[in-house]
Amino acid sequence: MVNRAISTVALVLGLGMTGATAQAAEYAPLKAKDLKNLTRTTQELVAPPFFPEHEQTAGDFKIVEIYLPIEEKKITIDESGTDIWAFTYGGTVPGPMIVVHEGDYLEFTLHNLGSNIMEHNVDFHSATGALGAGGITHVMPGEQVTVRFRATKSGTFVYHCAPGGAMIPWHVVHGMNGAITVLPRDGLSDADGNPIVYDRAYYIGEQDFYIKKDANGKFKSYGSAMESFAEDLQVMGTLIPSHIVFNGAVGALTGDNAMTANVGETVLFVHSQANYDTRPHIIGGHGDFVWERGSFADDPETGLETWFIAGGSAGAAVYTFRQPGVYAYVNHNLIEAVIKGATAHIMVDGEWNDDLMTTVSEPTAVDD
Amino acid sequence: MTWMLVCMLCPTVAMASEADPHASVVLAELVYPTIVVPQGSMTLELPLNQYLGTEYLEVPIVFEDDFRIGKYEVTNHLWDRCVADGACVDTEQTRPSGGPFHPVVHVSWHDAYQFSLWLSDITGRSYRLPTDHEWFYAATAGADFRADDRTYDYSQLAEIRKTPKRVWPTGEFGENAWGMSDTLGNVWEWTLSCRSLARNTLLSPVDAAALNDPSACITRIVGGEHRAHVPDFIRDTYSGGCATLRPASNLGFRLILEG
Repeated sequence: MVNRAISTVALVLGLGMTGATAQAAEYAPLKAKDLKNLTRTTQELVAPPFFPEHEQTAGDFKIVEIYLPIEEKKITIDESGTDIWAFTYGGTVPGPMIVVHEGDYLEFTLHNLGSNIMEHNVDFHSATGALGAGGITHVMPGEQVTVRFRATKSGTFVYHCAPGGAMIPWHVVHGMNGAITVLPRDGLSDADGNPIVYDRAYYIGEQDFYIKKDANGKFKSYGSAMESFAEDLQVMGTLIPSHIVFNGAVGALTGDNAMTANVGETVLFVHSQANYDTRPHIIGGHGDFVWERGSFADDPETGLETWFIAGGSAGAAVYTFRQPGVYAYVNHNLIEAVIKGATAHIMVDGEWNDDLMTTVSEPTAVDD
Repeated sequence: MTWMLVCMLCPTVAMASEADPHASVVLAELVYPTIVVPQGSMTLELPLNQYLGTEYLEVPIVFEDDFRIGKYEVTNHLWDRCVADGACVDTEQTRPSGGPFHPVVHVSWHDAYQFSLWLSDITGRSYRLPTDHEWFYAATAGADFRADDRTYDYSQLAEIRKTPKRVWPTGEFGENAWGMSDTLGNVWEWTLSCRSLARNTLLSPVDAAALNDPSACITRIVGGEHRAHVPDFIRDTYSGGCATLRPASNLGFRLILEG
């Protein structure tokens, strides 16, 4: 940690960071002139489980611009064809992953499309003040707003809609949440300050849905979101989700849609849950380095079997795959994984390592 | 509250008609008293930054003519007539206060809209919800009004949480200089106006006829201690329509009488 603290300070010297340590960075405000001179980049957001193109380490401070359209749309969330009116950022559940570096500015344009009917906003857990920008980003259909905030805390964070009252949980459990990764300026590192470089990164957004069943035990479908409101609230009030899924639907990350990796590759997994506690586990693998609570300012835990993501947060895990084959990435409440839907697959190519595991004797019938 | 006295004084009384198709409804029970709101102007100041309220947009409001608005919120008494006539939903189960002269509450915008159609139909007059401009102009008796969201702060949190959902009878909260009652009571009132945060929209002319349409928008302005907003399908605002500190309250309405 000492090494990283020194390098962080060195990197930002002369550019507005005062009395800094890695754990407690305080950024002196940039003067308007300096802010104006900062490099601006546009980050093209992509559909989860993928990350947008990004560098793992940072150069000078910059302003990252993103366009975040809001789209209300009906999506299918299980194999039986159950559907829900989803409130989405970027057209997907979860919303797209955003990546910036600590100390950089995120300048987002939130556009409530004219084809929508609801009021929306966004609360970034990585932002400071104004209810995470929720207080200054309310937009009606056909309106847009642009807000800039400085990402002063490194780590993984949820963003979600919070339009007020019962609308807050209702929008969140209709898919209106996503995550942002705020990387340390010099990238991820272990407790000794050694860099952790990943070869690929995946974003697993976990979503709890609360859909009422009809008299025949079939999940109800509604002509509009408003029609479902009263019944949604009944089911939400039980605190028992009807579905708990990754990437917006049962099976969205399994089979042909599985995540992929190669033996020897190091993969970053960011897992968010905006509302409900969860506990990721890679069946057949581990968390080599885990920022369970999501803060990259803290040393990662190492060699974990399962880690906990508190509702309303995102956490990160890094794993280097050592064996080929299919891995199940699950919420290890196995009822939630298997019955409710929170299961993903990772298909890994490469050479089998007999030293790590081998069959000593095939299954054989024995006299009992 | 002396209901009969008010009715004798009230300037607008629906008149019975021999040809009325709703013969089962006793028109004497359908009195919806209104007051005359004199022509004039005011400035409605709306916060552009809703969180800090540091910048206010001054919206000039001018009424060239007098108009009429309900002296009180629509009561359970009137609502029950509409229910009995099969034109309004029965929200009896969710209505916390059942007195006939209590304002009807736990009604969505659509419920209120349906009532306005029914009352217009049965009286042969033209009733509708007010625009937010009409509501605030009448409620403030023409005084300029700053729609400041910062009425409450965290030091009052305990008090706010004690704000009862109980509803008092109409008239309990007094009336303003123009005779409009209960504008400071604990019932928030639906308006026709669509919520917007865009300066260009807020400064555009208000077209009540266009807004008096269920498809105009989802989120409508409600009038009360300040200018709030609620999705139109909501019947109970729970925490009051905001994550922070709007008081617990009830949703009701009063009507404009046109012509």
